[in-house]
Amino acid sequence: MDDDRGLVALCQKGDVEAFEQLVIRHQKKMLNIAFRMTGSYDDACDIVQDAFVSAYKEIRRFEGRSQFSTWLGTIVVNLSRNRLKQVQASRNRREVSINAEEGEVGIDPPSGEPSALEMMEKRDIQRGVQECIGKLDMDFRAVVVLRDIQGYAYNEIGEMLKVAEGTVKSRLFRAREMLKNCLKKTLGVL
Amino acid sequence: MMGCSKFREQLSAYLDGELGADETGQTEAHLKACAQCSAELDDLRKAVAHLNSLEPVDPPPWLTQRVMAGIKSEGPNPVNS
Repeated sequence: MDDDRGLVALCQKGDVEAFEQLVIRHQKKMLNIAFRMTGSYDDACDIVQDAFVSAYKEIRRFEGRSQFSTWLGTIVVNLSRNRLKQVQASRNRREVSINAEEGEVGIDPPSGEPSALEMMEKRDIQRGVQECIGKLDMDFRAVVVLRDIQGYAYNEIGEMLKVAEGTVKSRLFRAREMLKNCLKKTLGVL
Repeated sequence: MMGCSKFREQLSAYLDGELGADETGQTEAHLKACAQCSAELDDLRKAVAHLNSLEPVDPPPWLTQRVMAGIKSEGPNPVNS
């Protein structure tokens, strides 16, 4: 966002309130990246908090070559990967799924719209999609989350993951192939 | 002449409009002639649509406050310290 530059400049001069504006502006997008990467709403909240604290500490090093949201997204992706590694290493991995409690967060539909049956069906599909995302290796999961859920451009994803655009393209191809096959199995039909 | 497997590798980038003009033309010509690759593209499009349709979650109402409390506990911005 264009206004981010002004707010970042204020933060670099020590303006904490300007940083709070950046938090308000970007927390939802960052939470959704972390949530789709980890599959855990609670972990995603912790990751977002850690990411903003880390960004605040490093803000004077931010030179504005990329957008603030891309820079922040890099931190969120890295923290999400670290969290996944910790979970895998402890062999105490919860199944990556949207449990009832998490699944209800933020998906309250506008009242009077879909029927209860349609809502159940939609929730089942969303759960199935998240399960399939959770089965991807981290590198593949990251490109799918950043491209197909968050809508970042290939060059921005390359910047965030520190890989060439060609690598983004090939990872995305492989990730989508795996997801397509998983979704067919999980949902029955696409 | 590229075979189906090569075209299938291109379908993901084709879907995103990330192929060059020549590759796009070749891919579209192949898709017109190959029902299997057209079906693959259709499946890919549906899979991506499922991802696109995931509902975003909302941050909890306390998140901003918690983040800012974490920041304030870090002390003044390093630029001033």
